[in-house]
Amino acid sequence: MFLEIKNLKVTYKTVNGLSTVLNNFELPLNSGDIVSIVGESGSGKSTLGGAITRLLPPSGNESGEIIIDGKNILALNEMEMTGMRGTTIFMIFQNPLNSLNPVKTVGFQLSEAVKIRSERNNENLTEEQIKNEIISSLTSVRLPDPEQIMRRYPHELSGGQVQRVVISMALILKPKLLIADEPTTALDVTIQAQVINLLKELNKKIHMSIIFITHDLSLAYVISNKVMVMYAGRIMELNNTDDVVKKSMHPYTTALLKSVPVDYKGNSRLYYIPGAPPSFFNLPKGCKFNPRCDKVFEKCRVEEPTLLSLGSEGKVRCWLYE
Amino acid sequence: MSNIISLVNIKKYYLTEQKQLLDIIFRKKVFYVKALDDVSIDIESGTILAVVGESGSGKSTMGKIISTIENPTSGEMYFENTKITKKNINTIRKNTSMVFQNPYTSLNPRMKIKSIVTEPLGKFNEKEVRRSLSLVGLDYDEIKNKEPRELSGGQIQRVAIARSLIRIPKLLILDEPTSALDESIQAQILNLLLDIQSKYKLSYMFVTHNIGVAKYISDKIVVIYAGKIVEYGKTRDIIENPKHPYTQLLISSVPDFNKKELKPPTGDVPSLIDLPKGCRFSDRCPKVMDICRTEEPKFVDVNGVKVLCWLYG
Ligand SMILES: Nc1ncnc2c1ncn2[C@@H]1O[C@H](COP(=O)(O)OP(=O)(O)OP(=O)(O)O)[C@@H](O)[C@H]1O
Ligand SMILES: Nc1ncnc2c1ncn2[C@@H]1O[C@H](COP(=O)(O)OP(=O)(O)O)[C@@H](O)[C@H]1O
Ligand code: SF4
Ligand code: SF4
Ligand SMILES: [Mg+2]
Ligand SMILES: [Mg+2]
Repeated sequence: MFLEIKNLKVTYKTVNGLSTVLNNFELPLNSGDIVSIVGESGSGKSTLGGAITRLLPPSGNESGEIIIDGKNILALNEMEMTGMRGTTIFMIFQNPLNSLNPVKTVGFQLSEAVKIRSERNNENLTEEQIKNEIISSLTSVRLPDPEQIMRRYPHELSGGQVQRVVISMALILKPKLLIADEPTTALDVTIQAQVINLLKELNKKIHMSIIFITHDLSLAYVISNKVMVMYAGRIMELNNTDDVVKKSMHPYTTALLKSVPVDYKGNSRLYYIPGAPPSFFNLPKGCKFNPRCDKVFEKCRVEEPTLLSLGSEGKVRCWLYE
Repeated sequence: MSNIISLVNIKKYYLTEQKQLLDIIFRKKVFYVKALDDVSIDIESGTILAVVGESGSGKSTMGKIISTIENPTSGEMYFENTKITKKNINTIRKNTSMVFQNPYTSLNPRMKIKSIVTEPLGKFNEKEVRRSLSLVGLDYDEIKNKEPRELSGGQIQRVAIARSLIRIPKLLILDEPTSALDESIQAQILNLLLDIQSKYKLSYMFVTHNIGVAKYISDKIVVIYAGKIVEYGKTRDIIENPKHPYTQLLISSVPDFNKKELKPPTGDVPSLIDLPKGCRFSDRCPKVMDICRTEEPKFVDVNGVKVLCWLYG
């Protein structure tokens, strides 16, 4: 096991009091996996990403264990954690500008990244080698005119270009785990496709594990080998991508899949899930999805199902499978 | 078939902003951004036209010209077969409205919902606001005094649609109205838009970069690349048998449940100031030929689909 999350609890301080978004959260991840985390807005996807990288906002608090490569990162002090970031874990944010320093040139920031990695691996690189590596990483993310891009500041690039710079940084750092929170939402479909292909390539080439956060199920289908469906801070279903998409078990997963438009105009109406996800201050009793579920029955309203293991890989949290 | 709107050889050139003053002082050559270059298109009454293309290709510019927010640099526009001039521009204004991508920034955050919806009328009319809100499935009494931040993303986009419907337009221009929303909310909004369209026989111009959405909502699709229409035809023809190399790559960039590999075009959209000679797609096109780099292709009709590409003669 490469990443293990045990008993994770994340709370936010809010004006209405403490809100618990993740509780007793468990997740195992194998090395080399690409796992997509899907679910509606507010289901806790970004919170999980922030917790794993220890980049929650100041109002957030986390406890439990997040073990990466045998180390519990929640027990590390801030300096040790800074050492892990970049080399072991790297995060790509939805807004790519959050990942770069606005007052440093692209070239400077990428050379810092090369230095961090070469220190870690005891490589002795000359300035020349550093520059060549930066140019080749910028070329491999298909940025035209790399030497010119190196002299620019992040705000002098388009959104798609900044995101590609961030990915070239990941290429240089070669982290063991990449967490990407909706990294392509702000991008064009064509650039999105380029970015997705790059991430898949990185995963193959350097065996980097990826946690890919998205609300786009077809994107999850294209990039990941596993999908985790999240609702109200809980894992509702976790399985191989093909099983989740082609043979979904949980009624929530099935409902999400049905709302994706695939047909022509006039052939059918789109299904949508009635209502909205619950507030964390006012979670329903029993199964958290029960007020919106079309398969709900008595027991669902009383008791919350546990995450059941089905088959070798599949897990589902629903009374229908008990 | 009558057309609600026709664009004939529409061009929109923007003078590049920062250089403007210096250019005047130093009499330098001025630079134009050719946001739309010689675009001709009809939207048939009562149909939905989807406009797809990469960022910066000119989709929003087209919407702004049709809704008269922007004036074209040259070309003609017809509304219900009448040529639009300065004198009759109000007919088109009265009959078109626009819905934007991000409802949080397009609606005034400090206005109450009832004021937002009634604003295009100029004065408050409870009966009309009630009608318009109920069309989008919102309850007037529950929502009238709320502000945008008290609503969910899906509710706000409904309010924006209610506002655009208050004057009962004939043509609605929707600029990526669902791209900021979750799929389940997107599904609600798309159903709603189709219901309203068929009930009132409205015409839509629907800008989207989501091919799945374009397929689901439209009768015809127009593909724009770097300010030019490159393919235009019936939705089914374009989705099932895209002819232009750009359309083919655009479709194979879009993830869906039938493929695991995405095959996007390489590189980036060209600068609209300094366009490649000949075909604008020539520097990214996998099928480029010699002629493509020197001469601009002209429209060819291929089984009812208009294509701008030398491959088709
Ligand atoms: N007011 C303006 N002044 C100068 N250039 C402009 C202006 N508005 C748009 N442009 C330019 O015109 C081109 C087309 O822009 P437009 O907004 O129509 O693209 P779009 O297809 O809607 O893109 P997106 O998918 O990003 O919304 C771009 O190069 C843009 O920078
Ligand atoms: N900084 C914060 N302070 C308080 N609550 C927050 C904060 N960030 C997120 N939350 C709450 O945590 C829950 C999960 O949010 P998030 O992890 O952002 O979900 P997702 O990424 O799935 O949309 C939501 O109820 C959200 O309002
Ligand atoms: S436990 Fe019951 S309410 Fe929850 S998803 Fe399963 S069937 Fe639906
Ligand atoms: S005209 Fe030539 S370069 Fe342009 S799309 Fe057709 S084949 Fe490609
Ligand atoms: Mg999020
Ligand atoms: Mg636009």
